[in-house]
Amino acid sequence: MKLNVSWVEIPSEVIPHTNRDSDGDLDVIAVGVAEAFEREGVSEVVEIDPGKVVMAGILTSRMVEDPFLYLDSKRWGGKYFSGDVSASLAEVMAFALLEAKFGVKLTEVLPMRHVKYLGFTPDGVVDAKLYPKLISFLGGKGALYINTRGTMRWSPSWIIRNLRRDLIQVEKVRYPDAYAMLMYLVRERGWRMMVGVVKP
Amino acid sequence: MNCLDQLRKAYILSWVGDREFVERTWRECRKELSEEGLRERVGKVLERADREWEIPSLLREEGIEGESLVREALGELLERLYRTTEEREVRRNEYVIYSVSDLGLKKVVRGYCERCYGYRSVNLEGGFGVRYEQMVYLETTGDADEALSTLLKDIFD
Repeated sequence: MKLNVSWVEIPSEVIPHTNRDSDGDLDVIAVGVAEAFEREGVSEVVEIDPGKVVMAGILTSRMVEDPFLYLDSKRWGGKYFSGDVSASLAEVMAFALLEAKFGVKLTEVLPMRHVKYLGFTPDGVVDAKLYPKLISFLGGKGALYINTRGTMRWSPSWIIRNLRRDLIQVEKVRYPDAYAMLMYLVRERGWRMMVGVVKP
Repeated sequence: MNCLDQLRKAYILSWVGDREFVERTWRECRKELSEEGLRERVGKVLERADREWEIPSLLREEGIEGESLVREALGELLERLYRTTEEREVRRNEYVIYSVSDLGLKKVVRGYCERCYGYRSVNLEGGFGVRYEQMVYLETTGDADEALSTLLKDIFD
């Protein structure tokens, strides 16, 4: 299957962190990134092996049995799944994307979605220094945190709302000098993955 | 094996159904993967923050680093594995630790193969098999052990 990916870079210094920043900053970034996704369109097409999607499905948080089957567009009921389930499906595709594009071993991603209720971690972490392709893509080495969400329908307001929340969530572990990818799977637009890459 | 590697292995073996290994990992690693009082310190920071987006810098100010938070989360994951792993009848041979679930018509094999590497998928009688690094998964209507050796043939010939 072909996954249509858009990459948008988010430099760490534009994200508000201290009391010198203001409330509006986060909105400005979220709107800016959402617009960038629209403007950029598909930056690249990544070929994904269905067998590896099966394996990714086993290693992710397994909130649904056989996530692979649920990725079918007629089975994916959009909003009759909770955010938890659609995010699990996005998680599967996110793992598969990291594997296909950067050679990140599925077994080397540490999954943390199981314990997201603790409130201080995103969905997973990868040690970027083990993967040369990842080092050159990110322009440095360190921990790479990933956060995933999925939706059936695309809407700018959905992504703006979630970017705000996800940025805060990954910054809790990423700030100030690691990396993060905020990954959004939009099923309605074929196999579309929008990724915001936060760099220090 | 360090605790991180052991947790990775336990994560897969939990899926296979090897409760014994998960329990051992829990006993050996739960101390190393959790930090006394960390959650309380995080809680204090959350109380202090007026605005959500200030939390990250306040955490660093308190000396709570990202790595500590990740370690704590992985400790919690280990706790959860310990509480939720369902015990299955685990078989072992020279290469693989595996369990077979009989779903009537179909049999599902989940396995962990320490010495396996790379990726391979095969078609099997009434199903398929996939192998990825140490993980082995297959579904078949035929004989489970035979299917397993088909999938691992290239490694152990």
